[in-house]
Amino acid sequence: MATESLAPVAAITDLILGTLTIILANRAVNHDPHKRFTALLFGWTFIFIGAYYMMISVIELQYPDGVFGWSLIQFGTFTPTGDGTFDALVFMLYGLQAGINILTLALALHLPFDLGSGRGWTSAIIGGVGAYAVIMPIVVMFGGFSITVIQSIMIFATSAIWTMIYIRGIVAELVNGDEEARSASKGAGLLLIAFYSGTMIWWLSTVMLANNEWFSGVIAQMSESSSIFYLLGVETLWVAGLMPLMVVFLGEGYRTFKKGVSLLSVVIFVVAVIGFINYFIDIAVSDILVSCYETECQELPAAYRVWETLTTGVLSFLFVPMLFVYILIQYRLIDTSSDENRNLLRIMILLLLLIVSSSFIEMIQSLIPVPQMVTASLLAIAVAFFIGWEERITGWFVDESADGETVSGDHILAQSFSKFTVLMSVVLVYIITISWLFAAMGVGA
Amino acid sequence: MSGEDVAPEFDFTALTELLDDRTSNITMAVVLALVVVVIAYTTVDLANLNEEVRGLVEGENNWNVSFELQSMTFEETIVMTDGEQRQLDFDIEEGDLSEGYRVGHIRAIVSYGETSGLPGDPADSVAANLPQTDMQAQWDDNNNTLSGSSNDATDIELLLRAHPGFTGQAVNATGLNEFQVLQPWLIEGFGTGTFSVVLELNTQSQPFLNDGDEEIVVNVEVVMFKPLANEA
Repeated sequence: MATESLAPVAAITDLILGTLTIILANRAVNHDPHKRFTALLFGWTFIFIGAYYMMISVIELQYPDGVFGWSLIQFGTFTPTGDGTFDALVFMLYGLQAGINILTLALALHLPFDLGSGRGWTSAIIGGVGAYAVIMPIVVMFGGFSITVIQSIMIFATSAIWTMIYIRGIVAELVNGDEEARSASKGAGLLLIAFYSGTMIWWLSTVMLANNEWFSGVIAQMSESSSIFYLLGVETLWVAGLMPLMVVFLGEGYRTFKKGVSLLSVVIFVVAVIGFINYFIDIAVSDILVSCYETECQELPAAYRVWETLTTGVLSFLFVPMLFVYILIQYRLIDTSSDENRNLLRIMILLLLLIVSSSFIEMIQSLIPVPQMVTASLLAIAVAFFIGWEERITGWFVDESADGETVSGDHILAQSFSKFTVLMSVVLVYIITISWLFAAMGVGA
Repeated sequence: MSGEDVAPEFDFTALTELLDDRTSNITMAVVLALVVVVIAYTTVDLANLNEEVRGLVEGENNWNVSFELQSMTFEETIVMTDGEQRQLDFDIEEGDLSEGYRVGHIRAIVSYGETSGLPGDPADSVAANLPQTDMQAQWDDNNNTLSGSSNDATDIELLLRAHPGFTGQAVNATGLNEFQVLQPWLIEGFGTGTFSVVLELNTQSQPFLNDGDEEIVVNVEVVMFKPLANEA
């Protein structure tokens, strides 16, 4: 059974959201500068993630018979094919991945609150992001693609920062009775899910070593033996998802027992349950996972693909953008007080909900043979619901919680915003250019 | 502007505040200790797997594939008249094959003699061919002999290769393991179905002799093989 890819939907959604966020951040001159800068970081993260999914979509469209796995980029198992366009697209993915990683770290240093301040702080952040996004893609392309796992250290560090903020917030709330601390733990928890749900849903497979069994199949196809540092990098990446999952799961479990459920607790429980089921799915298909070196390569069953689309796909491609927007608005990173911004915000929310719901319906239709008339009716119901309840839905996103108060930081010079926007635009063009150039030159072949 | 108004270059007060709670710090320290343990044992496990897998991938991958042979024969004797063309069909069922065996090739031997017993009567002329049927086989293989004829009563030998690559001789192969090496030799479906032999007789006799028919014997040998792989 063929399942529709959600990557193009995620690409469009993220690119639109990124553009709107950058516009909103740049125009809100009277808004808190720290929040504006954080929104700008968010906007560029959207753009980079959107561009990443766009490249994935182009590859899926142009090379439908090719095998293109997540491990190819994340673990650097790519070997240039000699097809200039394909190689260039993969090189771009490495560059964009590096950009996403550094932007995520920068976000962790700013949200829920600024961990640093001072005259040089923002400049250091801007410079750091720019330098990393310029140097790292070159290092990966020329240093052998597997070197990309060195970024696991940074990915883990980002995860550790938000985990620490979550622990600090939950301890302050549940042990010290500081109710306001919930904003910090909620923000950190949601950010962890938004950025790490892809690895979180393999938490039990990490603990029970099923991920290693899967990865042994990847190792078998690599041309050279992997060093212990490479393997350490691979495990660090898995643990960067496992650690926050366990912490947030236990924290929210205890909090739910004490205070009842919340959005964060529901989401983390769902992610934990998916991870629990994924382990047993790993066991069920373990013979196939190692088939490439124990017997001969076998295809994963169609049911596995359906499950993967309904969990990993929906979570990463559809749910994460919604979570991003929720954080963006809930923590007042963008100014929602003016009518002009409020209208843009409404467009943003409605667009997001409509894209997500229509894609979800299309995806269901590709999995289950539901007549088009039925899905068209369902979509019409969703549209009517969103339009009729637009005010209430927007209100839910923009409810007057104290979360916005949590986000605090240093004063930022006005020119920093435009500098950062120009820098990231240049970085984006740079990544695309060097990828074409080096792929055409046969780098890495 | 006084010196006190100037903000420092870098101020990490917020970071310090984040780390100023003992309970949180202990919790995080425990979490990090557990992380170290998990990373250590998962990395050791992956390193062992890596060694095992690379041993397989980079190890001695040359194999010698030999074949255990068995054969199954059919024999049919018919009497044909001058100018007659006749098709003989032999059904080879999957169930006729021994466990683990595949059909390698099928050989047909058409033999006849001059049975009139009359002195001076020359041997008849027999033509035989193997028409393509629904049987899966290597019909276009250059080593096949799909047709032949005889006019001196010598045997006509026909051959159809059934399994791709099978010649009856041992071969060298490369692969990670026995399973992979044997895969090309374990394809099912080749050589089963209907195997047909078409015969045509043209008698030759002196004008005053009456030699209008001939007895023809068709022997069909189905050669089956079972592959065995040994590291070279």
